[in-house]
Amino acid sequence: MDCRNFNEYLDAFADGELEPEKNLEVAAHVDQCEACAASVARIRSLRGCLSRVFAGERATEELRLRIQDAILAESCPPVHRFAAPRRWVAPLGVAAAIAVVWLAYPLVAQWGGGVTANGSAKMRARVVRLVVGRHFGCLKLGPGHHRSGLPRDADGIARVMAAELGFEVSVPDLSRAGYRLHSADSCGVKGMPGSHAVYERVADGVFVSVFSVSRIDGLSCAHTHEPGMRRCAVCGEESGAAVVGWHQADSTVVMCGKLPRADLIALADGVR
Amino acid sequence: MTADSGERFEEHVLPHLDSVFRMARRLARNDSVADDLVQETFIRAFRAFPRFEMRDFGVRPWLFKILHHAFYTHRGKSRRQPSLLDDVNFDLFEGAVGPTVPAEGGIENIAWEGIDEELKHAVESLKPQYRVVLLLWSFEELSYKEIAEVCDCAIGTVMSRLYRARRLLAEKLSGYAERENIRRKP
Repeated sequence: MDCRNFNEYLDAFADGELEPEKNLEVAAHVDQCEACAASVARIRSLRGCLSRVFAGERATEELRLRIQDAILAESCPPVHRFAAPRRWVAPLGVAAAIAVVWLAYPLVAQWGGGVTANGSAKMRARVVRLVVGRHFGCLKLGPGHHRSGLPRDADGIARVMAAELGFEVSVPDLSRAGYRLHSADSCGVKGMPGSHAVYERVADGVFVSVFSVSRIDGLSCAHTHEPGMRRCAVCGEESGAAVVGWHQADSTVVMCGKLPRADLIALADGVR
Repeated sequence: MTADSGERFEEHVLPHLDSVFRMARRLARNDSVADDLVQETFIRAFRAFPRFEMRDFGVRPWLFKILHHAFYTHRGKSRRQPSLLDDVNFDLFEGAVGPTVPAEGGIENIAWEGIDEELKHAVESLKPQYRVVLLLWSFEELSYKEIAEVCDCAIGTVMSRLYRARRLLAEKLSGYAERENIRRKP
């Protein structure tokens, strides 16, 4: 038995890539040849080792959100699409998502364009998922990050942000509802600036994100009706978290937290 | 892109993010570039998704093919800028320096287990065309045919690159294995 006749087939044999007939022939040889059997075992071992070596690598939450943002921007009509910055940080996507969907829907609906009411509803659902993803993403990335120089109270944050952003930013004060301000930072994209405040419920540590972006006048509020909620709302739930949005002063405010939708609506109504 | 196809994209394509991410990291060897490649891959995939037929080509190989193109596009652009020595194609010198695999450094003599870090570094030091086939073959468990589709080459080319990649690994690790006394006994 001459191993040289089989050497060239051992790799493909080890990988299960030989034609059935040749496979049988090589298998018969490998069964009887210790050296070739060892080679085949080593090739398979390398495959297993390489799999193990790189097995732990997972995309970061930040990258996952960044890609979801980019895809969302791609899915909107080009006329309303924001120019995607190369480097998005986590909070920016919230403002982008809200702006893209809210800007796009009424105009497209008015034009009778390619987005149906049903399609828009689906898109809103996707945005809710994105906002929820952002909320959790921000918490995961560091809910404790409070931007240097920002006051530690809602009015103070709104004042500084308003001066900085040039519109009347709304930062609801949730302290009377049993929450404490955890951190705040700016968020926004070109043409759609905003702020992001994270509140923590004192009783159980549940976080609620409050995003405030420049008010979008074109937003129609006729498409969502939430029982018990005043005027317009963008509502949805995903992964146990609820999203509620409304207009306030110069801004559009969106709240997101891992609590029942009714509780979030009540919380929103309490501070509007 | 309709809402339905957007949902199908999320359902069928986004779950492969980790695989694409791993491959991009190994190809680019730079976290920032890898992240850009992953984003570029998914955007291109999203644009092309309405025309994509899963019956013809699995999602993962399709994504790897897009990533592969994105990587070489990026690499081409980088090469037009001042480059590191790392970008030089050492294939050009192979003929001059003779066989790269020492007679005693064959794959059959290396015990792969227990040398994870060295193995990782050895893989990363391979040229991209070898890294790609090696990783698609091992970690992603693609068939030769699928790898050929990803790399736009013949199955024979895949086999020869894979063969050579394994032996280059053995060569790179043979010194380490000898020092650490983990070479297999004859």
